[in-house]
Amino acid sequence: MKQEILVPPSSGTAFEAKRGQIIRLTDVKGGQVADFVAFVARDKGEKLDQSRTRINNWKYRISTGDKIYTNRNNILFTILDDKVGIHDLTFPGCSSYVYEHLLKVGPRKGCIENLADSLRKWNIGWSEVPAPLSFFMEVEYSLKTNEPKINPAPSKPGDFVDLLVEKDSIVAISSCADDVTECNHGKCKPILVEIRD
Amino acid sequence: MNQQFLIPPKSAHAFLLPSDQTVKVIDIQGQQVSDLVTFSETDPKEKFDQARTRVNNWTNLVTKGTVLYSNRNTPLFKVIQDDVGVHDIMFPCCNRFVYETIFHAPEKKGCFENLAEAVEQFNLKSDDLPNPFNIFMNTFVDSKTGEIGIRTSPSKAGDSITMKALTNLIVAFTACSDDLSDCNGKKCKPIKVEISDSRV
Repeated sequence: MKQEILVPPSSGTAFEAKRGQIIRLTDVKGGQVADFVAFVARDKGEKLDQSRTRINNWKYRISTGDKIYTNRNNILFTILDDKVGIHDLTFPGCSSYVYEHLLKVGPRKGCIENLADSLRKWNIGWSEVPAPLSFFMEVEYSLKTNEPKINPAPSKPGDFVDLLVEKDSIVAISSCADDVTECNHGKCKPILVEIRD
Repeated sequence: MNQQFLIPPKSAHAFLLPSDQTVKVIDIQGQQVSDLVTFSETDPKEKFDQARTRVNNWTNLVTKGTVLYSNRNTPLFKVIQDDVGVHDIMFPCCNRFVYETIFHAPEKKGCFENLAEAVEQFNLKSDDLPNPFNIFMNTFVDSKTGEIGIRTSPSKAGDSITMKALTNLIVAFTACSDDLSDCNGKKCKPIKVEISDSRV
């Protein structure tokens, strides 16, 4: 069985994923970031953890073969295939706060708000949304100043990642809402999500 | 000075810190990391957030002038004095899993387990602990090569950092338990904490 969800530009979607299913995220048009968060279905206090995912894999960027961990060090997903190899595990997700205070374009919905909207039916509030795994997002840190730099997403049209679901999860995915920085090449595009057994 | 206490090696201590009070963290012997986690006292679901602190300050570097933010973008602490200028907001607490799987040292308690015990008195559980502000911790993240790592803390005996509470906080500090990596120069030492009222 296969389920398809097209996530329109600047929006989010959420669904329940069962252990053993494979989730494919495809950057349909290229140069588009997808923020990804997940919660353990039977206990939403357990969720994706950026820091632990970095350190448990002992690398800055994760790709094929690497595992995505929770705040209890359990494996939520394994990356089965990855056509890009560049994803971010350090940014909190764009948010109304970031648009207003850092990018100075006034309050507007970001990925955090879009993810929270789609998670509402599971009673997950915006401040419970963890910092995401941002697929196709390229962030570099200056070794001199420690400042981050957001590069244009390097994914090409049709590039995808495949994730094996290791624990029954509530998953939320956004097509990143940032048309202000270079992140999505200044234009927000859709993300295709396919879930198959 | 209103209050001071010593955190013995490989342990943690939690306490309430009212708004406007300052906390000075002193590395008495040198090369010793202290992990800090903090929560809003009025609603402990609001707590320190590594990723938001990185991005709201637009740097990985924490030093004098840096504001530590919550998961709701509320300023929790401001760094008002810093002898060292090397701290980490990229690594989780050392924990039993890391010791077992990465360092192959099973059954070893880390800062995570010590913090979890310390915050129990405030009805907080291990799941509630955010990733920490790792004071005096010397890490590197090379986004070009993808390498990450831990180097020995550069703090010298007597070096300190002082932070001012910007709201009423629950705070917990550790004297880091890592004697396996270079983090604390392979020796665990105590941390001294001094609390002062900065209000005139």
